[in-house]
Amino acid sequence: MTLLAVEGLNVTLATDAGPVAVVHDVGFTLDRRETLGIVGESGCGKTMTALALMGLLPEAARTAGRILFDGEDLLAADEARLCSLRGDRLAMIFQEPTTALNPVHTVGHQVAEVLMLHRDMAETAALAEARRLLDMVGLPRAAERLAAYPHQLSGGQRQRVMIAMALACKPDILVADEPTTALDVTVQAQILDLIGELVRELGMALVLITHDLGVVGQVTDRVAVMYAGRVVESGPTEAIFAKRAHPYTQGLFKARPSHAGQGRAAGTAARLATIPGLVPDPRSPPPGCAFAPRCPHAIEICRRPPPLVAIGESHDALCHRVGEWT
Amino acid sequence: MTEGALLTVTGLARRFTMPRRHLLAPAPVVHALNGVDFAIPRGSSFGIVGESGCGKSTLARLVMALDRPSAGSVALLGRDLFGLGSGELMAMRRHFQIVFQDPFGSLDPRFKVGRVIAEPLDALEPHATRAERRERVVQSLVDVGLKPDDSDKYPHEFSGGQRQRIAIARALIVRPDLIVADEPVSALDVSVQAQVLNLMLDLQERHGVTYMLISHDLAVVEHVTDTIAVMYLGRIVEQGPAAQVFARPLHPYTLALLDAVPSIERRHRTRRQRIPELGASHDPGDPGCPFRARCPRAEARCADERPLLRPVAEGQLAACHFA
Repeated sequence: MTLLAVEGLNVTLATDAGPVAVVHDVGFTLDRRETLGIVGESGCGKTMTALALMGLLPEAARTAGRILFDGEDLLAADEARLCSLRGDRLAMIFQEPTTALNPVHTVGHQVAEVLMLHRDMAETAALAEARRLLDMVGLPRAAERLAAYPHQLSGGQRQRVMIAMALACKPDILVADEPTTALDVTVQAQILDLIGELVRELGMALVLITHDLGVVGQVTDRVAVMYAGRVVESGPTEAIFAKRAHPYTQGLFKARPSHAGQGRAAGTAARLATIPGLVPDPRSPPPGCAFAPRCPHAIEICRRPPPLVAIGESHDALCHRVGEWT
Repeated sequence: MTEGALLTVTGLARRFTMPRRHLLAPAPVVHALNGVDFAIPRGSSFGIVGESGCGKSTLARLVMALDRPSAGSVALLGRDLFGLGSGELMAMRRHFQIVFQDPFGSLDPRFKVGRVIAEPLDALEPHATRAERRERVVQSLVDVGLKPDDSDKYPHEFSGGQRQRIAIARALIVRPDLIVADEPVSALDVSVQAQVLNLMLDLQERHGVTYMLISHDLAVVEHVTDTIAVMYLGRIVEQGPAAQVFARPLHPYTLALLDAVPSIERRHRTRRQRIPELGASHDPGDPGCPFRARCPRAEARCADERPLLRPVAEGQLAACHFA
């Protein structure tokens, strides 16, 4: 059985201006040792998708569809059941370790708490295990650091504590929401390596949410590109990096400055390709394809909902006109 | 002084005294900037890269004369900013402006955009007539790709990328020679980031403005600048033409930075050459190389003798014994 199967996930937020749909018909599957990258820009619904997986959506959110974890629908599970799964079999790393850690507890206590809660460990045993975990994630002088408070650690060290907490119970699924965005590039490299090793060694499945295509390329097996709440293209990472089918994916890749020597240092001040316009307001989405108003290839038919077109082996794009331009 | 340079920074150092930890102990001192020298020719772009704590933002504050150095000088158009009286410094401010990282925090939410943009003009050229003021605001807005009507809106009515355009329009209104941009696109999404970087390049071509661009994003710096300086613990460790430094880095720290950038080409590599995490800040009394504890090439010599920034290739400087 597939470890995680998300089917037709929809998330709607109740706002003062009425219900606003922020995630539409998102679906994917994930097995042990598989890594899925969810890429997209602010407001594309990637964080809402992650929170839905963890059962952590805001009160005002309404959901439809199914999130099957080992055959059990998490969207139908009650809070008590979710509490017993979260931290144990499902774990999440948040973007901001500074706000996600509790400032008034030591990091040792915060890592040990998970073990005391889910594994019924006594405090001494839990602290010993916390030490081992902090060591494993590469926190220098882990034994001393058990008694440290979050503010005494650097950003990279705090992120390691978050990872140690997430891994304490050897979860089946790790959801990492921009785990390295707030970190320096050399620290980011260490954290990404660490996450990659843990996936291989512990056999976890990883959902990695990021806006950074470099991170996705390096770490993940599969990619889902989201735009305005929908997955507009998904497939094996290497296939997507080799052949991008959706105009939004193409625009995203082209807009990124690269080390390819096209900069002004190379002679001419080459301009980056841009995607004109803005992300649509989720309160008044355009009819049909949500990307059409910004798409260089949009024609009349794009005012109707686009079909999911197969590009290659498990590689699909949500577009009327895939392959009709070069 | 470098011939024809718009900005010349010489021996710049800044120390911060921290609160005493113990009544009888001397107060600890953090050496944020430890002797930095560079010159930026008019019309060019100078990029500064480095990680948190390398001193790049301290450097930006000093170049903007928002802080005073512990030693060294900053000369703009041949005049030392810290040798000027307050009135003279105020008059000089017309020549240099800054764009900050966060377009949400750097624009006053209670001011209409027209007033936000006109603020440097009101402060620095108070004799401008109402008509001229209006015309300059409109010109600035148009320059950055916004509409003249936008001056009557409030900042919250704009997206992040548009707000950064407003911040650039505000910097442009006094027609400065130098714009210091401190992480100008790091708060923006990729597609918007490209629009703002293109705008910066367009403005340089149109108005001949000089940039000092500070960023942690190596690709952004390479795209926009002619010359880059890599900073580590308050010093420049490598400097040279951007394309050349990125193609052939000669300092081990630059190499480590470039190596750490994630990419699809790296997916099959099992383990990169890792550099250990940064420890405490560098003790200036230490005679050796500040990078040696993290350096894969460090030898005994590196503990005894601090390498100076010296020419190592055509136009390229590095502070390493082995470069």
